[in-house]
Amino acid sequence: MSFDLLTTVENGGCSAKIPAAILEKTLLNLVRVKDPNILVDIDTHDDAGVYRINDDLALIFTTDFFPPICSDPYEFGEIAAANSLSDVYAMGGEPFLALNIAMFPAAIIPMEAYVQILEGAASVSAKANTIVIGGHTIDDNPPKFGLAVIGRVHPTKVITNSGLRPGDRLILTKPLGIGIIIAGKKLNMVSQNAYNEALMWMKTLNKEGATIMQENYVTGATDITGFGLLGHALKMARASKVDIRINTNDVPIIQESYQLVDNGCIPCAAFKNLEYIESSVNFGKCDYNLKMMLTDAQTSGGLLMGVQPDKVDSVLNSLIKSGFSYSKVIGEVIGAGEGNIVLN
Amino acid sequence: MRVIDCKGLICPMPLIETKKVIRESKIGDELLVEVDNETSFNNLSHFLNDNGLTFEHSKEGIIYRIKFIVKELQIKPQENKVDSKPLANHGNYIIVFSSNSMGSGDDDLGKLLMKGYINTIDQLETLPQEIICYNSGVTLATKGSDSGKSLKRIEGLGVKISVCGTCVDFFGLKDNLEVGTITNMLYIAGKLAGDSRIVKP
Repeated sequence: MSFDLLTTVENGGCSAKIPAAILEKTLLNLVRVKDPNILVDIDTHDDAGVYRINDDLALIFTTDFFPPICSDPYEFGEIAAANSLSDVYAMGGEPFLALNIAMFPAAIIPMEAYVQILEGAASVSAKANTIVIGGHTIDDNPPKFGLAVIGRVHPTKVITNSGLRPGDRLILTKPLGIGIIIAGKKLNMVSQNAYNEALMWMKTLNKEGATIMQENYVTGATDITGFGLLGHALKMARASKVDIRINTNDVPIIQESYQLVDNGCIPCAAFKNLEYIESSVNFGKCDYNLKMMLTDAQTSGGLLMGVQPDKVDSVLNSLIKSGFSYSKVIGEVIGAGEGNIVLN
Repeated sequence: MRVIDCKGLICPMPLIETKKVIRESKIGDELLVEVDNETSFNNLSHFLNDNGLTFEHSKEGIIYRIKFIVKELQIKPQENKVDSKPLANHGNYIIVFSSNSMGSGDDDLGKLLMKGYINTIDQLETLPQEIICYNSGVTLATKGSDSGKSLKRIEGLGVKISVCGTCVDFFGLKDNLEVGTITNMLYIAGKLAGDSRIVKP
């Protein structure tokens, strides 16, 4: 057995993010550079920045890195890479260049584990047709890893948080529960099958999702990561100035995760996310366990996209054919609004 | 009054312990939870509030004490979500592809059979836990190939696909894999010696 990375952290993966509420306050007064070629910046809390090069090309630029989310170093590399590349896909783009960003305690963990992390990341990058062209490593404990990624997109086809349209149906492409399963894994409360399923989804690139969105004229989407489904849905609703409804019973979840929540295995990050969204969400009669599942921090989660009603069947068919077998309509954009969410 | 000592425990353990004791208790029982970090205190308070359990709390040094009386939880879990359906049934077996051909005799026929076999896997009533590819078996996972796409679909059903790293290097496939996690001989040897049945078509 190689070195177990999960022993190095309390909160791994995207759940290690600084809480959204604190981050927003901190970034509020940052001086912003104005440039007509900036198509997307942090104003809309999007997944990546987008910069127009010419009439046919814009670059999507993003980075993401985090402490270990799983035991095996190679798999951690795969997941971190899939997660970093996902921001480009979420904006409808195609990644092509990346840099490794790494912190690794050379004196504490065998360097062999670091090689495995890099190899895992390289293999997923290859699947994404992305060249890892270099990187940077700092000695630090616990380890952290991710990529900075550049992707390309046509300047008129950028898919953003602010692109939801009234009437759009919301489709989610991966099941929720990743943070819960990993917390359960640390406490020996999950089966190997459920853990494997969570790993599989985290390693799965959102590549086909991006293509399917472009083919079906999707304008608003994001990927679900550290702020949970409700956190990211709220950011989209606010940026698009719409209200949305989510049908909680339609939200796909990973096997065993509901039971874990019912047994009290709710990761800290879910509570942090709950605090962030609470005042903008009408929970209705939503079951407590489900509510906590909807705030569970995901790592390398699925895409949440707004699809016009007449395109729903085509999108779902294509997603399911590409292996996103859990894809489902989980809600809709009710209409223009201040960015509120209603749960059914 | 029953005391739930969660000192020294970090999130989510205090909530797990508390929920366990709530389940064992009767309505009207008084419980006292002790935690020694603010995060656990905040999360427990949030949980109790959301579930309509009123509580009193005190703080002494770094120890938080939360006292409440058990009543019926306001919102009960939904029966139909308790057993969230697994993606597919997985049997306790592993499929090993030790070559890109099925059976021996004629190589072209063997490759044809293998293609048919891989296309059939996702129709099986119980899927394998895992598929391991070595020697020319790794070429089945090549990007753009029919078998690679089928394997990717199978991975989408929760089957782990592992490929032998030495073999991937040997065939020069490192940047050309559609699917699969690269593993080493120790991993593969461990799986072959494990308690899962090995199916070798």
